[in-house]
Amino acid sequence: MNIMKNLGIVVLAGFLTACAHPIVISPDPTTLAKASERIDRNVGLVITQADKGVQITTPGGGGDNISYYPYKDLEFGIYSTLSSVFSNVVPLNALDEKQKIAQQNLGAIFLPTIQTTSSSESMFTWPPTFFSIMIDYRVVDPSGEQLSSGRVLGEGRAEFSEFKSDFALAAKRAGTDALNKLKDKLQSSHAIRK
Amino acid sequence: MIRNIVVVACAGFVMGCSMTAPQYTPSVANIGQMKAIKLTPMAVEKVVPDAALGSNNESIGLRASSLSSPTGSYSSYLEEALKSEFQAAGLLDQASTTKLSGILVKNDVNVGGFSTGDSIVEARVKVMKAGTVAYDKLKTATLQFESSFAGAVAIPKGRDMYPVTVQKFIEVLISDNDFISALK
Repeated sequence: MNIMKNLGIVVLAGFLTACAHPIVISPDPTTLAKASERIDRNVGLVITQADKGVQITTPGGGGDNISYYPYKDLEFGIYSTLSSVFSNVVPLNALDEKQKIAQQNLGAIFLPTIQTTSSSESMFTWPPTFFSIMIDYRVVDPSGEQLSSGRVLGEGRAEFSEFKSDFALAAKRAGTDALNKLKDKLQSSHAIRK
Repeated sequence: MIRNIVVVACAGFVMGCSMTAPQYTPSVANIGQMKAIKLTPMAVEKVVPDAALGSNNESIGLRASSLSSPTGSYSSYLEEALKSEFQAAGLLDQASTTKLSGILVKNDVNVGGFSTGDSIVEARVKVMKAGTVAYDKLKTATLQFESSFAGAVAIPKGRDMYPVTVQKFIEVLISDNDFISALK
């Protein structure tokens, strides 16, 4: 009987450890701050299909990992943030969509790069208690010449009592923090107003 | 003893619990497509459940867990998704005489398989233009996705694929030439 019980525990532990738990890190759109004024400019946003397919695995708690698609999950948040700062935002699949860039009269194109980290202080639960999202960005004109660049770092924390109903809460908070900082940074950039 | 408590606590994380589907996030690809084809702004009215939908309007079974809608029902989830997607594309005008409504017919996520899962959202969408029917069709979105034997992976995956299925449904709708013609 003891052997069966221990075997059951080992099998169950095997299910619960050494796997990457899928989460979605998209921040709640209602938590994203709006810019105080809009810059009258048509702007492109490039997140390629290849970017959207990038799956990242980082540590969670209890020896487990978490996995997610940072570009796919943050795409609407970035689009929404840019839409709050600029009068018109057009999604692009690549920087070389020259015809679309000309047709839509895009004066600037936003190119983000995303890096993430995560961790947990918990030995028994897998959702992360800490998450960080760093967005490096370049803003270029239609010829590819750089107009501006920058970096924002968003951090989010969540305790067990909070994340038991939303395992990705720390990540979502990090996304909100990063995007709100991005909004502030873009709004104060003189180079992309020209 | 402690080991057993840990196992039970962990098991509670993956089995027999009730979860809420993620809040809907509009698809940037859908927004871009809608902006490009320049549809008429419209009002989104009620999406109601079909009588045959049964309890899947309130809750979807994911193995021993259940997935409920953050809006109270999945028909209202679809209604809110349509509103947020059209709003993000600048096409929502609740005062418009062009009015979209729907009936949710099928709504399910299946993570019972060992390696793949699938999902379906099917709804009849009607567009009224100044009191006359401009569009009335049944549209279906299905997805297949990678899943796992382990409930700790399969159940959250199924939960996260629900809003992706709704995004796909809206993509199917706005890619229908009859829908585009009705809203030009």
